[in-house]
Amino acid sequence: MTLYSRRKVLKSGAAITGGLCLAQNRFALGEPTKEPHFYLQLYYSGGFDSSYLFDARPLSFTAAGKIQNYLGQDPTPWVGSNGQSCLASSLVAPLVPFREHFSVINGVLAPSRDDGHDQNRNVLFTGNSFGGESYFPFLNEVLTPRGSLDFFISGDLSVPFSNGMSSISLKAEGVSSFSKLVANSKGLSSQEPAVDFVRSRLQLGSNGPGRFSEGIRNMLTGLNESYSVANKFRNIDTQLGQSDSRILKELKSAHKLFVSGITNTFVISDVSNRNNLIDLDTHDGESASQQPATYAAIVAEIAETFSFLKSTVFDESKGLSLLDVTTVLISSEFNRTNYQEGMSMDKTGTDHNSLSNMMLIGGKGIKGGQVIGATDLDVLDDKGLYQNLSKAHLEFDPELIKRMGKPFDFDTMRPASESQEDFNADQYLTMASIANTILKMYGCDESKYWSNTRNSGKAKILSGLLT
Amino acid sequence: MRYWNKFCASRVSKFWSYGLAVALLLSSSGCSRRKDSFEIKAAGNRVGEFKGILATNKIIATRLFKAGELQFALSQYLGSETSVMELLGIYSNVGPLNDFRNGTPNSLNMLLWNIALSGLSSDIAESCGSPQIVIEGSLKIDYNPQFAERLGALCKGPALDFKNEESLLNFWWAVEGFDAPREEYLAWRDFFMSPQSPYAKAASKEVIHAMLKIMFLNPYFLLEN
Repeated sequence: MTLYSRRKVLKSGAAITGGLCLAQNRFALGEPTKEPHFYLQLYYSGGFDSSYLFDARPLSFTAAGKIQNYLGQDPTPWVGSNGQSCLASSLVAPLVPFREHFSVINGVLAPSRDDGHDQNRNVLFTGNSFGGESYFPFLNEVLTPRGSLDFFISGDLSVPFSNGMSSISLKAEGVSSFSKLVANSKGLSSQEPAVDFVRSRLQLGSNGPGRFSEGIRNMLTGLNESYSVANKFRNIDTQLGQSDSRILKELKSAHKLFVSGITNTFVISDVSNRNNLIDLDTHDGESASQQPATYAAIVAEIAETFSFLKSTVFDESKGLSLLDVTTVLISSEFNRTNYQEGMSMDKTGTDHNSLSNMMLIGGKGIKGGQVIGATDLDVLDDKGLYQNLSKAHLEFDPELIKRMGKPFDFDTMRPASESQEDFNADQYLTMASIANTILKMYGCDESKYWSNTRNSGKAKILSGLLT
Repeated sequence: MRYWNKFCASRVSKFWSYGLAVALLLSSSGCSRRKDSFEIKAAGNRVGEFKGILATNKIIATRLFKAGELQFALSQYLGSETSVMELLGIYSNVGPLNDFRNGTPNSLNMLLWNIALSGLSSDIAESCGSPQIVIEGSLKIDYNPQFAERLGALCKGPALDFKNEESLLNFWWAVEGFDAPREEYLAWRDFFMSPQSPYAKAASKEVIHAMLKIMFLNPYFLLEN
């Protein structure tokens, strides 16, 4: 009879446990999705004044000296398919034909409450004020086939990403020019003996532990993949519609890069600024007074985006449009205050407000037509005083000029009925929840999920947002 | 090997002499600590990233071309769209927002480096016997005398004759300078001088093109380290 020593038993136990853990992890990860799935993000820098979009206030609030309104019109209710509603400015009318394709998210709060553009832009793209990991490469990881580039940025986006080795920044004209350059380049052969030798040297140098070796590894991977990227660029149409709007040029560029397999994620940064529209960072009254025209133009771009995605055929045999295979997120880095302190309501500008951000999300995997989340400073009593203010709001914004995201009940997908005594970011809508919802939709590993703060767990998913 | 040793001996002794003088000067002015810590931080932050289009352009221009009115620009191989050039690594913005972008090697910027440096290697190889390069068939720029001499020595051929190791070493130094360690030179030399080399029977121009391309695509040449 064979006797098992304690060591053997422990070893076997460890092996079995390890095997089970691996298997569980494999199941949790799921198989890479073979369905086409693209991700498009429109980012407007400067801070949305959501009172001209989907988080407006009645003119009576302006009369009471609580919020500027250069449009001079009363907003109307925008009722979501989930029974929740918000007040929308009349400027959003061009989006009505597309309302079933996107959901409105109001009151997305930045847990750090930093008020700088850069910090909040970093939070939007990495979940951290100082920058860090983007979720884009994780989306690419689970797709089959993977895009050659983890993500593609059109326009300037100064975010310190710590991952996403293969990401680049190129506008539509650049894509066209680059494609022509590659198409005309001679003597690029992966079989060239000199290149083989370069590969062998890179291989040797890539085995070390340091950052230089990591750089060499990146060079080797990049060199090996560059020939396939070259072939993809050679095959894309380099024509640009000269009369196309800025956004349409970028959307067509994104479409070309999606279908050619160059990337599955495309960020269009600052479309409007490149259209010479007025800056969204409207600190002074003169700039703020231009907001009706500014937001009309922005809404037109958003409508053009949905129109393009909807009308562009992706797979005729399956009856799929580009919108059917693309998830879309549209936002700025934060919203703006109701007014600038010390300025009269007809001459005021607005300041930064990181206690709230308004986003539109739609397309593949998203249950459209909903209104999710809300902000406070929405009820005035007979004396013109705000009602139902939380302790957190009074602490963070004693001047009462920042609409703040209301605490959110993730189970019912509605603003929580009870106000929180002590601030806890996990009980609010945050970018971490949005990012995690997107990661969940793609089937990414939960270890990639974001947390609201260093000491908190993974931020909750907006399950009601997913189809 | 003796050429390498001789070459290093003369340069290393000069290097240390100058280095000592500079160190004494800095320490006497009381600024050595602050300067050193700043430099270490700046270099450490970017190890493994591309030196970038401007720094690499400057290295090539200084080592290969004559200082003068007409400046060499690697971007001449990258078409007219300036944003393409930025993909090779560049500082952007000013003040506290200043950062280095596109420094991490990826498939796209490796493709661009390959296109640009292949084009340059090809034009240099085509210029064999001439004191100047002709870029894209029209723009003429004079080589510096040292590089012209070293290139000329290889162009006379036979480039792959073992007896010409001195020419090979001089050519390596002219392009790589002190960037790469000795092992890189030895591997490069052996690759071309081996009787089994795929370039053993190739024409001089083809060999020079390959030699340059390998040197330019060396990680010690392109990356911060």
